[in-house]
Amino acid sequence: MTLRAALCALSRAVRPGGCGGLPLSRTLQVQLGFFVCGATIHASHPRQGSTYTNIPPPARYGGRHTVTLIPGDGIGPELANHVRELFWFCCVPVDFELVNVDSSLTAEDDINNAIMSIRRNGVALKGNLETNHNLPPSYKSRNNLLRTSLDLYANVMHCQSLPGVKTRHRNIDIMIIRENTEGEYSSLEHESVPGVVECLKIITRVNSLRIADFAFQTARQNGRRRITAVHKANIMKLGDGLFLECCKEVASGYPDIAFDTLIVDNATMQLVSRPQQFDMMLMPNLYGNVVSNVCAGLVGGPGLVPGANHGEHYALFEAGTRNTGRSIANRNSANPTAMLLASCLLLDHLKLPAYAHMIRRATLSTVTETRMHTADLGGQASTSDVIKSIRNAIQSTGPLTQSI
Amino acid sequence: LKLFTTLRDDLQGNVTAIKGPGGKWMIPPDAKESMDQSKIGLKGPLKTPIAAGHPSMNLLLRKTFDLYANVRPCVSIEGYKTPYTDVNLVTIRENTEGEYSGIEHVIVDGVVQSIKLITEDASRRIAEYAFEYARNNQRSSVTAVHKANIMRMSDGLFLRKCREVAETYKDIKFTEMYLDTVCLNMVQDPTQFDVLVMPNLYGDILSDLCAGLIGGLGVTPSGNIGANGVAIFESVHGTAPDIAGLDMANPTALLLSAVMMLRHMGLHEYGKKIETACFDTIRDKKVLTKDLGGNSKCSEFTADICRRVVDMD
Repeated sequence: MTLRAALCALSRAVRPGGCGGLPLSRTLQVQLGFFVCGATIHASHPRQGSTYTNIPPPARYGGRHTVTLIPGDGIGPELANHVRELFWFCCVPVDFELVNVDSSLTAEDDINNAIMSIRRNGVALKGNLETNHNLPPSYKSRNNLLRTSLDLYANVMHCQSLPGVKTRHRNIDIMIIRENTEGEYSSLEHESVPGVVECLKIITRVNSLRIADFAFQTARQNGRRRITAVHKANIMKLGDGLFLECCKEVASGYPDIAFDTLIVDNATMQLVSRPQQFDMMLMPNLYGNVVSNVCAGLVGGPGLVPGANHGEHYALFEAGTRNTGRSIANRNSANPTAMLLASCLLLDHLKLPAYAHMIRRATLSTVTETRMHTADLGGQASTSDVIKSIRNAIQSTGPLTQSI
Repeated sequence: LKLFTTLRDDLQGNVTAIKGPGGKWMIPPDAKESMDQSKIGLKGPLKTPIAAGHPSMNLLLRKTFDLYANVRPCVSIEGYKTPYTDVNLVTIRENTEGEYSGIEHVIVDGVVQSIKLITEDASRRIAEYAFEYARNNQRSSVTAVHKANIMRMSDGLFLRKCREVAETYKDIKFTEMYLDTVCLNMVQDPTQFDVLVMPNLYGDILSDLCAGLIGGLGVTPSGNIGANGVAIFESVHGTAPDIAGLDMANPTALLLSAVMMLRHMGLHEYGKKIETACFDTIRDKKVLTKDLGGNSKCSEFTADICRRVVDMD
């Protein structure tokens, strides 16, 4: 019997009746939990010093993971509900810890609670939090706060053309790695004299090396052959120059992956005329924003592409283009594909590939084969129609699912 | 009107920077004088050799004449197929400050800081120009592109100025949109945009994105408007040294810039004639230059345009 199984049996014995029985006192539960974690860690993977291996956060009780869920604004809450229901339907061993962040409040308590929850659980799934840009600068973007506090330095977005989705370009398969914490998003601004505002764009060697290393590792893991760094070093010679230098340095350590560079305006031009030439793209924060949105638009829109934010210790999954969708909120017309694919990325991260594969296959077949499209893809289906179709697809493959 | 074709051949781009008495780099004084007199210029691509020791020529021109607005109308060309049809928008980009202020420094070893500068005056000036342009060219809406959710103060200031100016131009619809939303929507449906006004970096990226939508820099005109009524119109492609002098170049970009120039000067009917002739030639596809998919020489292309213009009279 493995150590872990023994401990689970022990905890079950102490709590008669199994999961529904008398709960242990909270402290004892937590202590047992930590003991299990500790045992797992020492028994299997050494956590210290590993930066890129996807070690899932330790499961708490009997193999069930706890994941923070931040519904967000706009279409976020309804999509978060759909994810929760679908997971329950598929008997996925994930419990969601719901943390509501009210983005209209100026106090930072809500977001701090969310951050604490993510530190505890290690993984999160979120909708976009709206930022009212008419508020004074002391109110920082909540999404940005999450990313910088948790040091989620890499944003990964995989844009792929899907058969059945009508777009102007075909055969696009681009992976975008975007630096997520510094660059233009440092939020360091000041008004030196009334009417003159300076905004600082910070590029550091450490972060540039880190993101470049992440990119090359990811390329290797995913069989990518070429990385294109996007920059504007002809104008911002020191800033983007440093970024490029770091990328080149890291590239020299990966001779099996080709590396080239492209200026951002040329890159966007190439993307709209011939996007098939790109394999993987790597860039600082702002250009990443532009390029990822262009690519998402090219493959069919914000409703289709999931995004992942990785840090050394935490991972956060969301819809790739981070839209709130305020205008279509609560109308049952949002496209749930991006959020569902993000939840599949979450399951991959938690090392639950069977569930991930099941949900992903059902979601993609609904878009590509059944062609059940919501309004953003030119169809007339509602969100619930799409979800129903996905459920049917999952049920038809035969795994045990909860009865509705 | 054949003047214009000969005018194009004359433009050599042989203006090089010289060091003035103050030790600052500047363009030769006779060039500056002639510009001050005529106020309007047409420019072909200027090469900046790397490590030339002097700053880029384009930058010098911009600084000398205070060219604060870069205007790039992007209209789909019938006959030159791209995946995007019916594009008809104008990008107006602030040309003097923003992310391209050039103020950068190394704070400590390994940490670099670039400064993005936004000032009230420049923002107001560009907003006013955008609305004036919209009014003069019968455009119905102006959209300000920004990232004020992240860069609250700087883009916030830009936005506020745009809103203030919008108040005085009630006949033109004013909207604001985040940069990422604009990019997303632009590649899905560019017909929803009309006039876009934005700070320097976003303008650079978006104007090239729009140029890519209609077919690239070889067919995109561009104009730089300065203070004191100065305006320089140019083609934004490179110098293409490999085909220089071989009669292979595509003059469309420069010709369309010249058309913009005529419109700016108020000579609308001449502009319309040349533009129609140019588009007709491209649509007919009989005498196209190599980059447009044909096999003809540059001179044949222009001869065809000239012939059409004459036929129109």
